[in-house]
Amino acid sequence: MFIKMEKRKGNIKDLWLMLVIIGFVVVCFCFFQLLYSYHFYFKGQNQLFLMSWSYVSMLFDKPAWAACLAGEFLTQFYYYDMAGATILTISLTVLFWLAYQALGSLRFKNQKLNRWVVLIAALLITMREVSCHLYYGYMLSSTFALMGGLLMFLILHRLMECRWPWALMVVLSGTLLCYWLFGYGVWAFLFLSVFAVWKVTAPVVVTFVFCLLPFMRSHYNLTFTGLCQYPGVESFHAPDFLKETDFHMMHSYETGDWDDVVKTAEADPLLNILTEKGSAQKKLTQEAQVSSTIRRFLYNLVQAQKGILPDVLMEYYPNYLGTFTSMIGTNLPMLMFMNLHEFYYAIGDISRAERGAFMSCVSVPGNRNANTIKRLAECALVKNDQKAVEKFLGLLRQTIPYKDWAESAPNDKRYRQKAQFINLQDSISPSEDSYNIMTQLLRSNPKNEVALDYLLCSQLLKKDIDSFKRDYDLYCTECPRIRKLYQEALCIWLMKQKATEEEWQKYIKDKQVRNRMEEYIREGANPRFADTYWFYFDIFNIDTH
Amino acid sequence: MKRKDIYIDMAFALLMMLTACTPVPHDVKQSKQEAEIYPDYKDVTIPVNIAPMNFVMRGADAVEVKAGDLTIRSRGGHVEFGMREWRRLLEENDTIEVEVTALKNGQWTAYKLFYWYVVRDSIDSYLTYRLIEPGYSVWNRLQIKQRCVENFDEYALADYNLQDNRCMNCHTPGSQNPQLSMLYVRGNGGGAILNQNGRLRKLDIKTPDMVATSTYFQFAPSGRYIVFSSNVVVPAVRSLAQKRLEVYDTESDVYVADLETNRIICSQRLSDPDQLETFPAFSPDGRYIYYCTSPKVKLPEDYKSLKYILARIPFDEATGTIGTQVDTLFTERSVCHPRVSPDGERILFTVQDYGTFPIWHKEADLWMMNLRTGMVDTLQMVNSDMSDTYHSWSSNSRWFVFASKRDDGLYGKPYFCYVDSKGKAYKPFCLPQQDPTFYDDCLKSFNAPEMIRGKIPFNAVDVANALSLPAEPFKR
Repeated sequence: MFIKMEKRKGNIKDLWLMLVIIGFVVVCFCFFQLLYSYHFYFKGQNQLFLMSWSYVSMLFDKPAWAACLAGEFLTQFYYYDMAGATILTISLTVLFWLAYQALGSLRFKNQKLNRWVVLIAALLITMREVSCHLYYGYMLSSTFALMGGLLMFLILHRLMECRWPWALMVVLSGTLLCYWLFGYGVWAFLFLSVFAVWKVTAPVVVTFVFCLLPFMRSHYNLTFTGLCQYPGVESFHAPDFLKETDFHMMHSYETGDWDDVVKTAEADPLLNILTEKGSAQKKLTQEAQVSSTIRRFLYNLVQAQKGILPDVLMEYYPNYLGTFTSMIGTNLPMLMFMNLHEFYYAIGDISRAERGAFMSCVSVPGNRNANTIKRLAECALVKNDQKAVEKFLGLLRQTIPYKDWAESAPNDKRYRQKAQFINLQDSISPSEDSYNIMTQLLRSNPKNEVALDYLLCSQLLKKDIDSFKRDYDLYCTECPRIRKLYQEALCIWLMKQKATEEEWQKYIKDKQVRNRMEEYIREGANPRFADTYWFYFDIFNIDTH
Repeated sequence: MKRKDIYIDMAFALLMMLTACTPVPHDVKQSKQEAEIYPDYKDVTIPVNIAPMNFVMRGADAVEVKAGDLTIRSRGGHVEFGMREWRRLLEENDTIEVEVTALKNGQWTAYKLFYWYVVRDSIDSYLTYRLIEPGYSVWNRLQIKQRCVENFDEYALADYNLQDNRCMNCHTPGSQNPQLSMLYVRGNGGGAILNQNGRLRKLDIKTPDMVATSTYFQFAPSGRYIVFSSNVVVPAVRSLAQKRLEVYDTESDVYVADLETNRIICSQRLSDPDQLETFPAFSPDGRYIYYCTSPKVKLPEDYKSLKYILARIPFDEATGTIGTQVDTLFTERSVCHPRVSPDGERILFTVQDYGTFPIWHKEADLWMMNLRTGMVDTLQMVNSDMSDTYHSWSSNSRWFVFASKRDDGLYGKPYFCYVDSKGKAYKPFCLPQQDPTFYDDCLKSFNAPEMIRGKIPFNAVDVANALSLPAEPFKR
């Protein structure tokens, strides 16, 4: 009877355990897949896992090579839809199970720990790890390091029950092996070992911390903190949905789903807050301001390449084109910094696109970013620099996610088309003088409408009507670019000059614009004209932004 | 042997066991074509103490290599020599005939023979270099390393993890002596880290009237002095896609620093306000300072008019005084990085069409002048169609190393070149790596390679400790 009752109790607990695991799996997968999937794409980009021995051997330079190997190998699959959430959910579930087993094997006063306590403790450990994964810089390798420490304890804890010389050898060799394979996971191993055999573990901890770790400092070239935390630990993080939307737009832009970039921007409350044209704007946090800037930058980049930048420039106040951004020695927010090469590539400045890609590449851990290696290959293809093409495509051919792209890229006609728009002027510039860059591109190919629109729109955002008119005359006389925005701006110049009717006829081809301008003058800065350049010119104060 | 190498050897041995049944050539087709091996080690002159010249035959399913009496067979195209067999091969042969037979698309083909010419003039056993992305103005995670060229051991001299991810400049030895060298760690709390017999000093080699901190430097043969330039360096993006980056100085002067008295020695001739003086180097007898100088021009507009000539000025080590007589040695093209061979016979320098930063100038080549006759050798056998620059000599003057971008136009790799006693230079070869495809996966440039006679007696932890010292000031 007693045995039966115990068995039933055990079954109930197992049932609870199963329910907890199933519940965790469902919630974890759904959260990461439905609400946080673009973080995976970003994390997957920030490494370049090569299927080569020379790459794998580099992992031996630091501790935790096994955790890093497993973590980095699996992270490359984040590139694929649903793979990130699946891999992370499985990893965290295994972590939960290992923590449950490891804690469950501990004895306190010859008694096993209460299974509810063990369950809650394992859940807390796992939830802490979940929280770390909410941060875009946290790596899967770190979770594997922790799992490794727990696994090592589970494998060795029976041997620790031997007589003390053997137990000492087991704990000491386990500690060294664990550190070599799993880095900071060794602390989990030692923590559990202290509970199991504290008399043996205590001297091992002292030896490890005060003798072995300092010795490893010169072997691994890490600081003491770095040695203790490798491959990396994080504090608690809350979900960052601002970054998630940023990554969403970056992903859509990079994968060529430009309609989704526009759709996301249009549904974006951060951008829409800014569209209350002329009215007082809501205060944004610094993070929100950065996100808003990146989103407007990407949105405009898409619209410029669709040829409709002048049509959408007045949609958001203040707008952001990226043309006044300093790149050399820059202090830009990381995501903006990482995306600058997209702007230069879009306008055809391949020299700066390549440079931007190199700079983006050095801003991620390990200085290996898959997306920027792809961009470097594209730059080389546009320049027809075969040696550089081979270098970068050779790297991408050794990856799983980018192998097919690397095989097909040399035959992609878009790069030959892009070559028609590259800068043919030979000059140097110690600053990012965007005006100079774009006029050079236009001198190289006057049909470069992306550069032309960026040039004219930049002048208009600065309210520099005279420069706008000068450049409009210079680049739009032979091929007039009739856009509502430009027509409205020309109206301002014509008004300022008190131009003759002949001049009005020459420049203003859209009669509606002239009629509307007369209405605007009559009614003043009425918000119904909020979509016009006149309203922006009169009302919006650029100095405050 | 380093722990990493042991792992690699263990894995390699395991791999060898697994692939014990490597195919043996049969029905071999003779070809007059050269084997397309990487790195290109065909018909190169090599020192007797060099590490195994492992290479890869790309696209091969299996390969057999006969080098002298040694035969290696492997699946895939990798050819990796065992250390002991390789040593014996070099010690027993002056000319090694190498036959490569490769299996491609089911057909064995024997390619045209090539040769390794082994010379008894040993190369200095260590090489130091900085590993950096080829971006120049923005850097991250820099390392300065030393590598034993007799095997594959590599050690960090400075590492971003231990140096707070600061900018670090090239490590330069005095007279190829491992007991005397210096490197710069930039940024707050940084300084010049001077190694004197393994004891590290932190120096602040700057006086208020200098235009900037010290940049390029070389030791005097006595080790008491360094000659250095102080440059205001400006990076500028080239608009033309093929040219990438131009870097120029708006100001630069040359000075001498006395490392015993912490005194800066200057001369009007070397800090002329109308001239840009840079890249100083002592002659091996310490009697001259060689340097490059150009009249100032309007920058950045006239950057193509920046033409540096090669000049020299006397120096007296006994009194620590700079002379007044400037000799102009070479004016044909813009000159960078003059380095006199330790025997004082020759001077090696980089030439380019204009400017002072050859690493992105495809036309940048190494030229060598005989200091007795003044004859200049354009080193046709050595130079490539990409930038070849940043060179240094071995202690016996029979070898020099330089950074070349010949493989991909972007990433510099160290190439070694033999110069015989008559001054004839031979085809250079790339620093051998244990895994011959190492360079394919490497995303770092090997910057400013320097040869050294032995192992440098400090490591990155010592540099981190030295950085916590107060910097020794210098005065006029």
